[in-house]
Amino acid sequence: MNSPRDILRIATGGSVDDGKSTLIGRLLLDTDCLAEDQLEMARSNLAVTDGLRQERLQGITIDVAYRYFSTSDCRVILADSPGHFEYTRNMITATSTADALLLLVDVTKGLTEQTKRHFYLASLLKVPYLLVCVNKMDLVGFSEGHFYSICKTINFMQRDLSFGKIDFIPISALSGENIARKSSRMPWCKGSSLLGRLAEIPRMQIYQSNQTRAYVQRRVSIQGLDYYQIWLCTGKLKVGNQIKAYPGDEVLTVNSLKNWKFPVTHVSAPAAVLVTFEEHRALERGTLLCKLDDANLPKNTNQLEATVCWMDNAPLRRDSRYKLMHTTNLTDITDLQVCSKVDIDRHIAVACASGVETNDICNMQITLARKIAVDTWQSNRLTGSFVLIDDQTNFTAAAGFITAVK
Amino acid sequence: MRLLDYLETESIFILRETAAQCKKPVLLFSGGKDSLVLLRLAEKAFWPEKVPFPIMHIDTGHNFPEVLEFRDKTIARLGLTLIVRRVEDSIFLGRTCDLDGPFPSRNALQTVTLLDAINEFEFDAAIGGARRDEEKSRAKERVFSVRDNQGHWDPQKQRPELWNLYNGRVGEGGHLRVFPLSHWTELDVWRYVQVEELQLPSLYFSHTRDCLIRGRSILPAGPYLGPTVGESITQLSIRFRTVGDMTCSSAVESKATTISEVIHEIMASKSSERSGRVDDQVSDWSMEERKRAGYF
Repeated sequence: MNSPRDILRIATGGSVDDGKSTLIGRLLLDTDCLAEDQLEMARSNLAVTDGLRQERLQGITIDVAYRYFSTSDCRVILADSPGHFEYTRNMITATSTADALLLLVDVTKGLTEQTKRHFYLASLLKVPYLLVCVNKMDLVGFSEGHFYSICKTINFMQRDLSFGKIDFIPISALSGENIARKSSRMPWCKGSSLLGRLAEIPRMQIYQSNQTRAYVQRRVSIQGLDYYQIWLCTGKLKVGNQIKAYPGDEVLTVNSLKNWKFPVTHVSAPAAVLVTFEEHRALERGTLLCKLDDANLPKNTNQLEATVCWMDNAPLRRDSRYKLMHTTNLTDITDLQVCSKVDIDRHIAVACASGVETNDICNMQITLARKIAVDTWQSNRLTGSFVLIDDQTNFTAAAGFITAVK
Repeated sequence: MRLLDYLETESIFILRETAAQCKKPVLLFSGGKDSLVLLRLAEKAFWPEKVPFPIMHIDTGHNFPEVLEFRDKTIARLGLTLIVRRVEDSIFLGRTCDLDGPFPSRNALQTVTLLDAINEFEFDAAIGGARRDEEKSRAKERVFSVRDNQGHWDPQKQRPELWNLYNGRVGEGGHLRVFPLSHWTELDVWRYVQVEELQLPSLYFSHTRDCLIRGRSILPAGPYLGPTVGESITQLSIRFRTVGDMTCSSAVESKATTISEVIHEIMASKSSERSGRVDDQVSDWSMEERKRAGYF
């Protein structure tokens, strides 16, 4: 009766009506993770993730819903994001921590504008594994030709984009073909079922990196000794490690590591641990801790170049004050320049003639009131990302990916 | 990484973020299994400090005496401060009133008492043990979930929550609800109780009790629930899956007397944890409506 060994985080994407909710219902059903009362609901329309009244009334998914199911060795945390264009921000939210994105395509309709946008966003977000699920194969008689024609279109589209890994699978979510078991209706399909493919991909990748990155959440001083409650977000930490503390350039030695009251000699990310150092320095919340001998160290800067997705319903306002939240740092922004807007249909940057509105993706130059230590998104998804907070409404107005550091 | 280790470490991170970003948080505690897990996580998160915020219970007046006793012992053992606010007092002050009909539930009434207490102490964050797997509107709620100055939740105005970045800022008069157990399932909670050897109220284990069978629910007979005319009492061997307000905590037939027997039963069981909850059966949107009004 062991608990699952591992955690896999996946997100879904695709156009409205391409069958995302049906697929999720099917995954829960086939992994035996629907309770009987939920099953009744699932059988009626399989849309088990539409939890809000507005969603049922409109028959669409508005907000990200989280579902949990377990395969033989793994807990899956699934973030279901809506397919409507005006809710693109939700897809970015859902994929921010995902190991894989399941992008649904309705084989009878082909690629819609929305699917193409999600496809491009998946590339922009560097989703480690993109699985294109060509759905509703039952409606085209499980035809190989229809499936490969979709694959061909996507392969043509992706020629100027980059992905960690991209894969294609023909499925029927409604009848359960190729979901938990390999379908006998599509003997021409190479490779295993959808769950079989998910079983093979690396898990919790956002926390996997050779770089050691930890940041201070809180400092507790007891009898002249400083204890730091830190979040090790990537890499490993050992007692005796030489640590560089940013944005200063002090070098410290790890004296002890504890899980609650129990000393440990080393920890791996992700880990909320307690650390003490041999040297006495009053490090502040937001201090970034890195191993001195890491091949790549972060950069101290107050000048960032970033790709930013605008999430607030209110447009970017020139007169408004925004703060930048990065790790556990909240920093004032002194200047924010919009350099260009990303045309997600043509995959190019264009001049930003009008303002920046909800779901716009643009390239920005941000100047901060003080220096912080950052990585690029390319090298670390957790220390290379941030959100912008509107100082007046406190809303999380935008999500940013650091592309370059000056 | 093992699942429980991951869930634990993530919850600890969230609890520390709450303490670091909010001025005056409070941890909501009922003596139930989820809040006991939450309390253990808080102990771990802040050690060598004591949990740096008070613990609060909203007593509906229809709580199980065993659970209240258990609650007091637990908080005393950890040397923490317990605040209790009572629905009875809110009724007495005319802030709310019992619903019509025989044996009304006071579950929804807690909202008024909770919001009054949050105002009274000027709490800016209330940490709760709710999980996303419990109910469909909860599946959509953020870990740091904003309440406006009326204490209301607006699902359409939720803040995007990305990576490990939790935005803990709230406007004047508003507050946060923080849910560190968002990613846990009922089974995870039980397994954690087992691994951590946490003590639970005896109601969670099989015992013989006078029960009423009402619709799909098995309910404890007594002053708050009846029997009503035409109903008869059945003696059953049961355990409770939730131990909140007596009027809506339904039981399941069970022979499980240990944690591992309970885990076995849950794994074999075919109904979800809240399926017998009377308050969720009122309408398909009961939870969303209660949540919008400021419920836990």
